[in-house]
Amino acid sequence: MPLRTKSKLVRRLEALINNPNNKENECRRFLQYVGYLLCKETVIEYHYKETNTRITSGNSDYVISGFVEQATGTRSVKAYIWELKAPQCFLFDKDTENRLIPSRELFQAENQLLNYFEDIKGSERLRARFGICHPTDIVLGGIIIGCNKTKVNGDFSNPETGMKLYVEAERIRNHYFYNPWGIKLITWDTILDQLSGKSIKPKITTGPEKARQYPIGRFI
Amino acid sequence: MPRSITKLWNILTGSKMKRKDIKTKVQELLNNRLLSAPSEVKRIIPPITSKNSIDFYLVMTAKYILVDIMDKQEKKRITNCKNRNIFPFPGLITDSSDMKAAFMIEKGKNLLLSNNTVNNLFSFKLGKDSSIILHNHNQSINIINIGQYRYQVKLAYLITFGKEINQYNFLSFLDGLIAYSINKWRQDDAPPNQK
Repeated sequence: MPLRTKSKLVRRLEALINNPNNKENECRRFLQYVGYLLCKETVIEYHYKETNTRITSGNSDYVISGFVEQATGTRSVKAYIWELKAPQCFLFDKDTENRLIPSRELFQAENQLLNYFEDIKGSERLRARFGICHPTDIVLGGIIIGCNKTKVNGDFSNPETGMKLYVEAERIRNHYFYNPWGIKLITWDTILDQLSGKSIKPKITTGPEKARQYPIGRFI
Repeated sequence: MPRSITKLWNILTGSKMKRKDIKTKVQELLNNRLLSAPSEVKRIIPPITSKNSIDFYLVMTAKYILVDIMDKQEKKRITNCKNRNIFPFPGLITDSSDMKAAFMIEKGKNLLLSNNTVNNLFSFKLGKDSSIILHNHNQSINIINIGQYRYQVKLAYLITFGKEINQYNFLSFLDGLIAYSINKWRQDDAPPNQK
């Protein structure tokens, strides 16, 4: 992607994330540039990218499928199902002073993801559309919701408390629910970070004190 | 890394994850992303020594995680360092405010540093919440009682902790960083009209 296009994309997505209105549909378009992140393996070639797949229980938000190579050298097509919510949505709400609760939108996203996953696995027509031979090649991708600013909804007497509780709430949810099933929970800032990644120009740097001796590196 | 370091890491970070578990998860990420990488990417990364898994050396501290991909040569260098009781990456990273460094990185995500050379100076002063790819990074430093020590980091992934990246979610950032590097190299290798 040319640099100018890339920086335009970054600015546009940043503006959508910072917009006070719900911008889920507009943000969804940016996923075409980070398809590699939405798959767990390196995709050799994409087979299918679709937004708003019609299925029985509603509309799945984002499905991506592609050829992946196993360690044995065999190739297969895998499809990943993702559920999207706007960057304006909160991830967690304040439950008590010591505990957070997933937001309504996060609960909804989890429920939608699981239902769409089951529907797609059971539909021969959809499997054929994604190029999937076997239902086990349909994989839970994850949920993209909120941004760094909307991780916690609620006032705490100590502003640091909200973030501490967020770390704990995210850890518990990852540990018991998401990780065992390979579900990823990411924010739109992660997508922005992927688009705004940079290469630093090569350079040679020499320290001013050639004779100076440094201690052996240590674990800091 | 000695078991005591893992214990120290757990105490400092409050993490309940064991080093063995972390290694297994890092291995899984590397295998999923790098083993299945297409040939144009495999030309860029260090030769993968095994068909079934990626060899790597893991440095875990309370402030950062470094995953160094090892080919045969790098494996030999690290074994040699271990035998001499030398940290395998002298001069690469400092968190000391009075030490000068070639790069100061703070809240920088998915940064690719290729073909840099740093002599007689620390390479990185690490800030928080950063994710960095080191590719063909050359380091040379004068170490007390050892003298001038030169080495090359062919490929390493470096993640620093902060408010956003912590000991519980860093694997997700590491996965994103590996995925980013592969995509970047594929794009660089693509014909101009496909970039």
